[in-house]
Amino acid sequence: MIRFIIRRREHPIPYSHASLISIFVSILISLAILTMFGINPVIAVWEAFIYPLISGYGWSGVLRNALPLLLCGIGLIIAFRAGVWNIGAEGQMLLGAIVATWIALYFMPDKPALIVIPLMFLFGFIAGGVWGLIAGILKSKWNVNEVLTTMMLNYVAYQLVYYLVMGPWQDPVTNYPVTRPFPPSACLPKISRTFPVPIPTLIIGIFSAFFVYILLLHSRLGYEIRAVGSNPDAAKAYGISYEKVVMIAMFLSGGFAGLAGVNAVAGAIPAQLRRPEQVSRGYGFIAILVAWLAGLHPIAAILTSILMGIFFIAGSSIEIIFHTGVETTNLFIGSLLLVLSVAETLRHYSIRVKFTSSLFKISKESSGE
Amino acid sequence: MTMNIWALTLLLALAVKLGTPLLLACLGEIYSERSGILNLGIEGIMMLGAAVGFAVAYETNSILLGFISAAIVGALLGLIHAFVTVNLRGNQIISGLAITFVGIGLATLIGHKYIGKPLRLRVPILRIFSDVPILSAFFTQDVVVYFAYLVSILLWFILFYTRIGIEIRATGESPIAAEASGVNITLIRYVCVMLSGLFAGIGGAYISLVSLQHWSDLITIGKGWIALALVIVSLWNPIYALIIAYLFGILYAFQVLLPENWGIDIHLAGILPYATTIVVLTFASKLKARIGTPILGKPYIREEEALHGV
Repeated sequence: MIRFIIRRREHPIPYSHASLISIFVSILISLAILTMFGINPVIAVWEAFIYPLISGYGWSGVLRNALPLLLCGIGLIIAFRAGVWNIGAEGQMLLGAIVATWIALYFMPDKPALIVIPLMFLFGFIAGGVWGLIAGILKSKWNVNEVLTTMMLNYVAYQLVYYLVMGPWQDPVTNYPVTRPFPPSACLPKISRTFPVPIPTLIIGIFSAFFVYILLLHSRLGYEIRAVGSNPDAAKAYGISYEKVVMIAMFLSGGFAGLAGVNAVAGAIPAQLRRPEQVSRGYGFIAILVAWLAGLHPIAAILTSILMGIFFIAGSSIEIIFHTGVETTNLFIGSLLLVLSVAETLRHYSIRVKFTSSLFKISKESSGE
Repeated sequence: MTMNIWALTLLLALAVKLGTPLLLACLGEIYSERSGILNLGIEGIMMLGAAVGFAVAYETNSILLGFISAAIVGALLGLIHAFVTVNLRGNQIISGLAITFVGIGLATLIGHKYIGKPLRLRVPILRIFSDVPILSAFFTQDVVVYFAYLVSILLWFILFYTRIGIEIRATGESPIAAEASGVNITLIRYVCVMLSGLFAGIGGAYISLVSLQHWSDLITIGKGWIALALVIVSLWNPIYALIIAYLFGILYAFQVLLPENWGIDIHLAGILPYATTIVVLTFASKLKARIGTPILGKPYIREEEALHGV
């Protein structure tokens, strides 16, 4: 028989070490699986990771992917800190994208950029927030499992976007499943043509990370969120309103994802609403990793979102170079999550494996240390 | 009048076909959750089951081998989840999500070269009441559907009327008390989590091998997540799951029929199952507060291990 002996560590391993080791282990796992499917791991690492970064052209792509990951990630950090498992950032993003598209194309197609762009972000935040709030209300009022409701709301949002881009909002000129391109006033300005990173999102992203840091760790509301997250019953006993905290956390969480959704349409080239998988692109799921790798710390999320931006580029490069199918990135996300779930335990507990023979009944005394 | 009855029968027959993968996935997950382990990996396991089942059936020309291999890979993913959550005490939610992503990733890798290839194999159909309206919807179906009926009844009987069933429920409700009375918690949880993977694998294979007869990257589109919701709605009871899964089958049948017959947009009709799940889940959650439910999500670490080590 195999026995697992578990012992609590006196000093937990620091989060940063656990994260780095987890990333390394999951890269190895992913490469091993890709190798089994006939993909040369050395070429994969060179073409997908190293070449784009040393040649420099990959960095704008990394940042363009890191920004939505950062916005979704800090949103998820708020929810996770409140003990709410929001995995609906995909859907919340899409709602932000839908509202931004409506403002850009139908509500104020002829207003100047200084009015349109702030309004898109404001209403995108509200739309994403409301989408998150639905799950928040159900969770806080009737204890409806939020993992399932946020996931269901993702699928509802996918279908809504499909309906819009293949129905009433479809571009009548091309007949592709996309809307008309946004007017120039609704397109986010980029740093440069060769480095097309949207400036408003860059500013909002970094500002939001610091804002959420202050909110979570240096404000009354943040204290309440963390109290509810670590022990809801104790928080209630201290007079903190569980319902209020869960609803606010889910609204904010969805709101930041909504901002990423605005960026996904107004910052795209060309700026327009497309099929849902081309808008949210799995950012909402990868953001779960951004949040956990950062140890649920909003400032650390800046680093982990850049890191995941690199992996996102690498994943899509591997898919293009080796024609492996569209969702191979999931393999890496999955193995990293799996390793992380174990790492979280290993930080606090040491686990030793002991092989004993149950046939010969080795007694505990004789096999003891 | 007779026309209407046969139209209804056709609707129900379609509902049974569409509900069977939900039912199979739901049944396994009931056992996993009854033993105290939440397996959120169902969606990924169904995807992998669909891909592996299709690949094996296509290459070997045997639909049975397809189902068997889907069951095996499903159980293997369950094994990973069990190892992480039972032995390593990993977070059940994160590990379950991880299984979903690994499953979808592997499925797209495996399924890639089968895109657009039709399957020419058919599952044998058993006709019992083929002339009787309504009844024929349930009893003129393929053998996998009958398998799902039998498994529902068998799992219900085991769970509530046998010693093993008592041990499973005890493990989920109070692991400390169960262990004190000599129940092997680790073994029970391993078996139950692997069962959830096994049935989800078969359920996924049913979609690619019987319902659609082809492979695509979006083959399950959330059926695994809906199955997870149905576990709660059926109050962790396999017989209720049998009824509720087929009620949801009717919903899926409407999703197919509304655009065809009433001109409703296909994507708006597509919202139906997900929106209904949210509503039904809300009512079930209000009800759930009044009955006992398994303790989910918390790793079981023995007190003396946690404090002193063994």
